[in-house]
Amino acid sequence: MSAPTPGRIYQWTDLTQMQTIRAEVCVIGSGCGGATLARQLAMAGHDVVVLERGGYYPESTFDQSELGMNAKLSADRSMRASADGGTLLLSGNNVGGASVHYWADSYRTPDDRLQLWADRYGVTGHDAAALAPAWDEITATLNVHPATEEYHNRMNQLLRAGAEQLGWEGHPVPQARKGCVKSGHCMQGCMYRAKQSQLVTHIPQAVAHGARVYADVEARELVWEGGKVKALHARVVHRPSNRVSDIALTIEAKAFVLAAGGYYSAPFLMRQDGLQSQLPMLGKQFGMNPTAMVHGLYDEDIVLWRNIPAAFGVEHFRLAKFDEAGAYVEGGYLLMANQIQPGLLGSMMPVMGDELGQWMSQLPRIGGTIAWIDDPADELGELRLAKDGTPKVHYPYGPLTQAILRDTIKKQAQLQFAVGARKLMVAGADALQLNSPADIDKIDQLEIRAGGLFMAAPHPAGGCVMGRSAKDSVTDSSHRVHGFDNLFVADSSVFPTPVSVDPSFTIMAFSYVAAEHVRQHLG
Amino acid sequence: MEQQTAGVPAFSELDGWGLARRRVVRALALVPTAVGGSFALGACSAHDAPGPDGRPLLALSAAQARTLEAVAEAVAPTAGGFPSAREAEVMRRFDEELSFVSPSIRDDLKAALGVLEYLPPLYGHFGRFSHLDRSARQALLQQMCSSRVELLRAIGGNVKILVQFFYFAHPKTWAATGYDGPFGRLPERMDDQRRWYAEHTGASA
Ligand SMILES: Cc1cc2nc3c(=O)[nH]c(=O)nc-3n(C[C@H](O)[C@H](O)[C@H](O)COP(=O)(O)OP(=O)(O)OC[C@H]3O[C@@H](n4cnc5c(N)ncnc54)[C@H](O)[C@@H]3O)c2cc1C
Repeated sequence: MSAPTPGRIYQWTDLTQMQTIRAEVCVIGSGCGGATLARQLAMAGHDVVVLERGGYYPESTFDQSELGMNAKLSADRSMRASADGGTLLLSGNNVGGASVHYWADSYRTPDDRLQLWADRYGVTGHDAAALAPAWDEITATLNVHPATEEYHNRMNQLLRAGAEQLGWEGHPVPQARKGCVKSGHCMQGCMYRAKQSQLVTHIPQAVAHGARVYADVEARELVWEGGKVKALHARVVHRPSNRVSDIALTIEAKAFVLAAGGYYSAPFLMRQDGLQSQLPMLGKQFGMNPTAMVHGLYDEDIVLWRNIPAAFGVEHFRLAKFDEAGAYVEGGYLLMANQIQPGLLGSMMPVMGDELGQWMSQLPRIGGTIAWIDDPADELGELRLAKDGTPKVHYPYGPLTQAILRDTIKKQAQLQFAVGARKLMVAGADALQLNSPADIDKIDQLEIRAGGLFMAAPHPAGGCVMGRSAKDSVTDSSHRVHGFDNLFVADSSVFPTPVSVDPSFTIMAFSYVAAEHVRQHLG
Repeated sequence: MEQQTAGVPAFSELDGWGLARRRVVRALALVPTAVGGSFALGACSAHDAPGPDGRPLLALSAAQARTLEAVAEAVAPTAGGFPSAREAEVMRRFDEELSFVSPSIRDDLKAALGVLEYLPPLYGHFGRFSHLDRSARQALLQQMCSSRVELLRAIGGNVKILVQFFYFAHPKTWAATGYDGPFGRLPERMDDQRRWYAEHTGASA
């Protein structure tokens, strides 16, 4: 068999003229969802184009600068907040999507979550047996393995010691890395090609098998007739100003796959004429794993910003526990060591002036923990459109969500005091400081509300959920949008609820399944 | 005059001023004190005058830049060898970052600065935010961050978080914090957008 003719990555400087691009499959978005699907289809011999709104930033453009890399890699420079202004919404905007700035934690979807999706939401064909071959292959491709001892920085060692002391179950977290140099710059993009993001794995593999990737191209308008999408209109983004130009591209393909990510896929469909009424569940059932953080001051150097972020994870509290009467007891989150560079850490300090200076002048001795909560299925939020067509997240922070957040702050405080923290600062506007374990009860008085806790949401899920019919979902279990023949969704927006662990491995495995359905459609 | 790149719409065409105005009007309902015509945030051109550092602004108006710098001065530490907010270029970075985000985010943050500037009378202070002394500004920011009104919390919290983000990410603050810099201490590699901003604001890239 002859070697495939490689494709290439085009950028705004290559795209100076209006043109029509033809392919078998057009994929919108190049993150874990889109890149994995493109790789699968390209390797199966299909002609694939991938459109990516963000830029193409190879490692030669990386410099580990906190703000500089945030500008290159993060959607809206991490400045988008939920509608109530209280939670920062984090995602990618570059070739490789959020995987280029992710932490590389690679959990398989827990069985209980797959079962919930099957039983309550009618998802079929995505059980552990169906996904296992994909995970086995991705484990090899991305070199996924549990973090070994040398990759546990001081905060991770303390987290593990604390969990052991308190009898909380935890494990080294599976990591997608090869030859990690412990720079601590996962969130600034790994310039050592050690973190196995889509930029260094599935994207180059897809391109080697003929895929054409168009960076700096924003997909805008689908053209369809009788349930069949015929074309997609897109525009080239002028990267220096980050403005959409008037250079129009038309993509004609046999199948279109939306993989614009959890924050953007549903809004993309909402912007299409008439689709919102055809698909009433668009934007609904939206979760985002809000995170709560507690910073601690220690007697020893912690140096939060080096080595890998989450070498050890406390999984003991992954699922919320309820008593026999159904009252919430505890849990509903994953607990990890935090890793942030000084800008982000400083931004999460709820004090100012010289008090802020006193904390920040002891930066090497500041440690911290973070937990992403498993959004309760009955308190999920909704994606709507802002006036400029960008996503607007309405998130209720319901009573159970509040109880989970309060519990995780208490557990984080308990653990950090157990391993020697001198004092703690809850990352929240009320600037709650705890000077001893006796102060932990003060957390009971903390008001949990939008803008109260400083939270970020790095794991969007839902908005185009998978299910039985257009009454309860946006896609069916073949990833097809209800009412369409050749329009598919392959990213975290199809998850009926968040995953309860970091989502990238679930997204990729789902894309294997989606790719198979697209292949069947192509015949 | 605003510069326009071939094939690229000008800023003014993309800015959803209508949205900003509506939000400010809504926010104004929370500010019963007479601020009259001077609270015409939407009427400011974003390019009417240079920023407090004398260089042109791309996203903020001169008034918004003054308010932002007043926040940054209130938030930045003064003791312990920390640089001033001006030395850490907080206002400048804020204008730069805002120049590249979606119009709805830019408008909300610009409107937030407008509300902040005219809010002090609601809390019993005479004068606008940028005219208050530092401790009054700090007190007001703290009150906003823990306000019962969601919008005020959002304004105070988001502006403060961003100011602190840009301040502590600046290399001039690192010596005072004990941060040893990015791994290997690599020099910054400016991307197209940083160069574009520098070109349009008269700074050397
Ligand atoms: C700081 C951080 C750390 C994380 N760490 C982990 C971790 O350790 N483990 C883990 O499993 N997960 C982690 N995550 C989450 C994980 O990275 C994401 O869930 C995952 O990468 C999302 O993949 P995706 O393909 O669904 O979306 P994305 O990666 O967001 O990709 C979607 C792409 O579509 C593009 N796009 C959007 N709209 C359009 C359009 N109209 N036209 C063209 N392109 C468009 C976007 O620019 C984007 O690049 C982290 C996230 C963050 C923010």
